[in-house]
Amino acid sequence: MREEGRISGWQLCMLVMGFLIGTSTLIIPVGPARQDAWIAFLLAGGLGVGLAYLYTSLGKRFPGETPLEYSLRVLGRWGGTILNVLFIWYAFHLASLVLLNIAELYTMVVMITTPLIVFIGVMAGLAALAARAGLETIARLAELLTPFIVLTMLTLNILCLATPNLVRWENLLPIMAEGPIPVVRGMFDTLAFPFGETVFFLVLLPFVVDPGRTRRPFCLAVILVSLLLSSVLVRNITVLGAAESNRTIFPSLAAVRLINIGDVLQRMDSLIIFIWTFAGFLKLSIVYYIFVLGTAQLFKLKDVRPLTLPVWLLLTFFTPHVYENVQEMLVFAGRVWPFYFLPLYLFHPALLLLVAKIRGVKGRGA
Amino acid sequence: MRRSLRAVFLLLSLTLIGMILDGCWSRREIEELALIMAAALDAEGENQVRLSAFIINPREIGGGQPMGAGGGGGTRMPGEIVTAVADNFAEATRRLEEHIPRRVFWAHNRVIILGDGLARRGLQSLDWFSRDRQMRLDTVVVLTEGEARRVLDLPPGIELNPGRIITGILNSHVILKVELKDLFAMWQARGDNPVVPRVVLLSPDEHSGSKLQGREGRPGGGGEGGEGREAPPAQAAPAAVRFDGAGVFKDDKLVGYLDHLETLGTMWLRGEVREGVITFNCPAHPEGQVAVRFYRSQTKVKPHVEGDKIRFLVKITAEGDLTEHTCDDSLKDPAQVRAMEEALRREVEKRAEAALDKAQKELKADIFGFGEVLHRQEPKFWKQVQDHWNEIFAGVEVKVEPRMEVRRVGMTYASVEAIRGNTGGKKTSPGGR
Repeated sequence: MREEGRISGWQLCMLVMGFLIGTSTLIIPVGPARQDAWIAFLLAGGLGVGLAYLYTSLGKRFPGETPLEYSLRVLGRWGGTILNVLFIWYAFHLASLVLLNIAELYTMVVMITTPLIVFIGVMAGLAALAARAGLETIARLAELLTPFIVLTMLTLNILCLATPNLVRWENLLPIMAEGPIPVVRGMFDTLAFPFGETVFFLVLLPFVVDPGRTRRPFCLAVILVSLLLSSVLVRNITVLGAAESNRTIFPSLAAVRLINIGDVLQRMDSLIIFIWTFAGFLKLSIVYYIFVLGTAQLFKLKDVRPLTLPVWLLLTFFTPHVYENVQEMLVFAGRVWPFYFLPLYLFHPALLLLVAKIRGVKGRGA
Repeated sequence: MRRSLRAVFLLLSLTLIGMILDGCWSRREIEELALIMAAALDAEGENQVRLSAFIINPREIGGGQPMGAGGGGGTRMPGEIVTAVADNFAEATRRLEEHIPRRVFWAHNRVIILGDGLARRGLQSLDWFSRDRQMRLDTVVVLTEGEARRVLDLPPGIELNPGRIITGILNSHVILKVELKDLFAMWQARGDNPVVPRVVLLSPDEHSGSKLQGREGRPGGGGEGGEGREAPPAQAAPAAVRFDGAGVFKDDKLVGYLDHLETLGTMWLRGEVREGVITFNCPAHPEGQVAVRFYRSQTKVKPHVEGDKIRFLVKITAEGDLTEHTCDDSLKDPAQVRAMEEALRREVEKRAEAALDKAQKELKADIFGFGEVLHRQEPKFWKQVQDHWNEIFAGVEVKVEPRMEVRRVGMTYASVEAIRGNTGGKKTSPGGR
């Protein structure tokens, strides 16, 4: 099927930014690099730009087609189909992970007696509505929410700086005392989450109005987000210290709670819950949409809309079983995901591009 | 026909949505909450703990004149104190709820008062205060000798509850202020040890100098004591608190106290000094005194490692204004100001050395975070010493180099006595903050 919606370069940029911010500020891991986590994050952002380059190269070679369509021509019918099934499986898995992150946050911090399934069902239902409304609607939502999210995060950073005696820059020292290995390990983790996840934008690239000019907004979004999120990491480390950031489950929340300017500007927790809800929802609806669209294309359906509601049910009942508790979530996000996700975010697009170059497969539109 | 059916359906669904939107799932109305403003933690028996909490009484706090000008009677309290004994503080909170009619709400707690019995047992029981989601890491922590519960008996004065009284005093910027997050940071860092300010209870006499008030109890205070049945001074309800000294923890256990001077020295060495007054005798005329109010200060600690010898160089810079000067000299001469700065420098040195002496010789605990400085500046060397840092700290050489600047001398150049040429100033004992 074809999606009739078209998005502009600016909307793509906003979508990628909202997607990258997503749940990463929520469980942003200090990880193995400890006080150097921000360096690891910046390095990962640099590699993320490389990934963006790779994805947009594929998008440019096959304008107007999603990877689910051109992979069939590049790798043949069987090989392509296997890759496509994997692709949409990852999208489904990511959607449930994002969903569970948001739901866990709500049950842990905001409303502890409400059952998890309520948040999962409500968020997934809203994402289903968004996906049903189509790509243009989601893009406009991103245009609306992403600037708000970015501004709020910057404001929170500034408020932390403005709170007397809160920021201790010496917490960033020593820089790379253990040599470069912990930083490289941290970089590898953050490359997979969140930067590698932009691989799903391969599906959205063909819907940009001018398919030749996707690279600049994509790369710009990756660069801006890596700067923004490493500033968040610097904030958490300078405010809490590396050890305390590792000890708390939601370091950003703990840091923002300490904002207190003259006993007037304080208790900013609700603001950060807003950000997480908005950014998480944005990410969820993008992945949701990609999963629905991918499924429709896999089975060569004419329309995505009949799929949105069944997927809602599927997701609602699958998600609670992704993991049992936050510990499993952290282990999964930190140890498993970087390896588990590697085939999709690196090998899959690289393979497609390489084989397309060797076999000389060109896009239909070109 | 179809259109009208659609409208009916829409209307119906809106009504149904309205029915489920009016209530929240796990809502808590404010009038169902018991807001804790101060908590006192004590050790009880062998290994139990006692939690005492000051819960505000919203009827007394809200609405203009709290102590009711017309309301008269001294019996109305801005809150009530409840206490419970349990194995740990999480359980103690549940126990509290057994005898108060509202759900306990911690997010407004302003101060945690540690009794020294609990502090000597260790800080482990504070875990709940960073784990529970209602807790705030910017809650102030203070220590008191004896039972912490007694601090909650503070009568309402300008401020109505002990939480606000204590945080109000701490906001004056001249006292060591330790928040829960600072306490955890000092505790978990291997190159640091927690220092927590100590509060001392004052009798009415010490607080206001009034013997009369002591007998009758301040309005709203607990000191009832009828005719002829006067409580002994030590047991009387306190009239106020004063911050005096600080408790020193080694790892997580309270091991000793710093006196006033040593606490000031610790603050200088940790770089926690923000404002204050230093009083000393005139360099040239010991009978006169000088007070300098400083308002800006900075402390920089630099480690020097040679082989396995460690030296620390502590550079303290501060600037301030001269606020009192009862010596003979006129302050028109720049050399005079330099002499003042020199004397000021010695005063800061004296404080720092008192603190260093106590920490290195008596307590053998690094309460200045020097180990963390070493960790940051010399991470490789730190690896070798981190496991027995406190012992090594006791032997390291610390050089303190204060640099004080007197910016202004106030509105006059010389005291009246100096103009008259009279040399008989008053004798003072140097001190002050």
